[in-house]
Amino acid sequence: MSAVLFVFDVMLLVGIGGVAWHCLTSTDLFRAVVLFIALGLLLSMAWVRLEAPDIALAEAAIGAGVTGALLLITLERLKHLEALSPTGRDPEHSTGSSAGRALLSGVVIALVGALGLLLIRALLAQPGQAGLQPLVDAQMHRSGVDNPVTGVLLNFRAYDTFLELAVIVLALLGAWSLGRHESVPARPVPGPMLPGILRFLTPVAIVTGVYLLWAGTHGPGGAFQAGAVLAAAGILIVLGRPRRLPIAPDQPLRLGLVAGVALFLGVGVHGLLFGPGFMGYVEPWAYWLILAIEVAATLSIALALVALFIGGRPHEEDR
Amino acid sequence: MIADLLTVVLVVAGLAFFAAGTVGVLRFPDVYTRLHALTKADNLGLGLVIAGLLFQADGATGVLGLLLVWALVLASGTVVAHLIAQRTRTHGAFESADREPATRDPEEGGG
Amino acid sequence: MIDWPGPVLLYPFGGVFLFALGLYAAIVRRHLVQKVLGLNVMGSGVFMVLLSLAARGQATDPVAQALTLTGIVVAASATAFALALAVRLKRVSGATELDAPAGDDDDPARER
Repeated sequence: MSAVLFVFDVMLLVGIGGVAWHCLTSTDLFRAVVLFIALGLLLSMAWVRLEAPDIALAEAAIGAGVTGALLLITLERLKHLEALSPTGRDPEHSTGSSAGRALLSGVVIALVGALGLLLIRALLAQPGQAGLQPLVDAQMHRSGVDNPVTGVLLNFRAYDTFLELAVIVLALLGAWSLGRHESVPARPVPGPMLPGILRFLTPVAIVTGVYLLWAGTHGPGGAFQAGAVLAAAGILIVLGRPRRLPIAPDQPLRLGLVAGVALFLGVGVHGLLFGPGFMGYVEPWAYWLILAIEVAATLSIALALVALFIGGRPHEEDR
Repeated sequence: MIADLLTVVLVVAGLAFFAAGTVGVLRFPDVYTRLHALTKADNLGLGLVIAGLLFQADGATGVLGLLLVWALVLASGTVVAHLIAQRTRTHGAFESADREPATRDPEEGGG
Repeated sequence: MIDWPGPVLLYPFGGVFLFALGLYAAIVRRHLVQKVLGLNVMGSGVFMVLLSLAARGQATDPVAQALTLTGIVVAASATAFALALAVRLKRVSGATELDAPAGDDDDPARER
């Protein structure tokens, strides 16, 4: 068995390395993005091999799925802008320094190779220890949930997760500050196939998202994976009718976007006033507080990812 | 024992379809024939793998889960193949039409 | 669970390879989308090193898993923002690269 696993590991790593290589050296951007999505799926298999199913779910849904959709729509946007006002090429700039670029390329390869060797040297010197896993195991009964990853995310290291939700809102604010949104530069697909599958898949995606959210307390899953699945459904709906974006009333949209951060902060302050300190839970309520935070976080993550896909802040007069 | 044997036979048969589909995607000349290889072979391949795994599933929920995976992959595969084929028919193949004009460094190809 | 120390031996090196490859692409490739892809591959390399080192115990270290999960989501958010900036740069200056010819529109490009 272990020989089979060894062969599988080697094949998987060679596949990952090869796909990453072709993705990053391809001169065709579309090809590069497709290879990047394939890389995400291969990586999620590697995470399964490393016994991290939560990460595998997140990688497949967020790393490959949502990021891939963002990259593809960005390529469409760049092409759309190029078609609107062709800049042409700047030949003197792009070809003039070919020798210099070859030199740069060589120097960078040497530096990166040296850095890689140093990293491998450092990794070989790592002592083999179980890390923090025994410590987490010993405290799990106090966390209010059964999945250790969820326990770490929403209880032991709740502060990190709180700031992570804030980072998502920050990224969206940054994207919104760059301008108002335009219609997504995708062409509506003629025929009944896309609307039909949307009618079929949207309820399935919602059920899957809610299941992942609920499963996160005792098994692989949680707010991030659930949010990504719901966001994928939202992105599909946007792509299904790119000329008419879904109309979200402004105030509820903004409330939904900050719901995760706001509720998390509220519970954290509640812990500061009545419990064990900032971002701590009053123990008998830990499960319900975590569940409430996860529901709000799922909503915020899904809304934020769809909003990032649409890009630009919404405005009423365009519709 | 019989169940294990059936699992091995069905999964190996499914893998053969996956291999054939992969070879088809790599060797066929255009989008339509590649789609043909990919969707037909992979749907059947996945079906056989799932049928094999059904003998190893524990309980009704496991069986239902496997069948659900198959049904969802069938549905999405059908629609995606249709969309890709339709887009190719109206806008041409992806590689030639969508080559981003701004990538101007052919010397980087080898890395 | 793991009969042999395979993942522990192999995957950290795969992670280092991905990190180095991504770093190389992020420096040498000029198209902004390619740079973003390079940064994402670098991140995947870091995750692979983290998770493979975390997999040495009986069960994969949940703290490292939570860190990686956080990292994936933050990487996706940063990617979305970077791509929005790239589209904005294209709209304002027509450039899709950072080392565009010197001019007024060069400064916002360097901000990134």
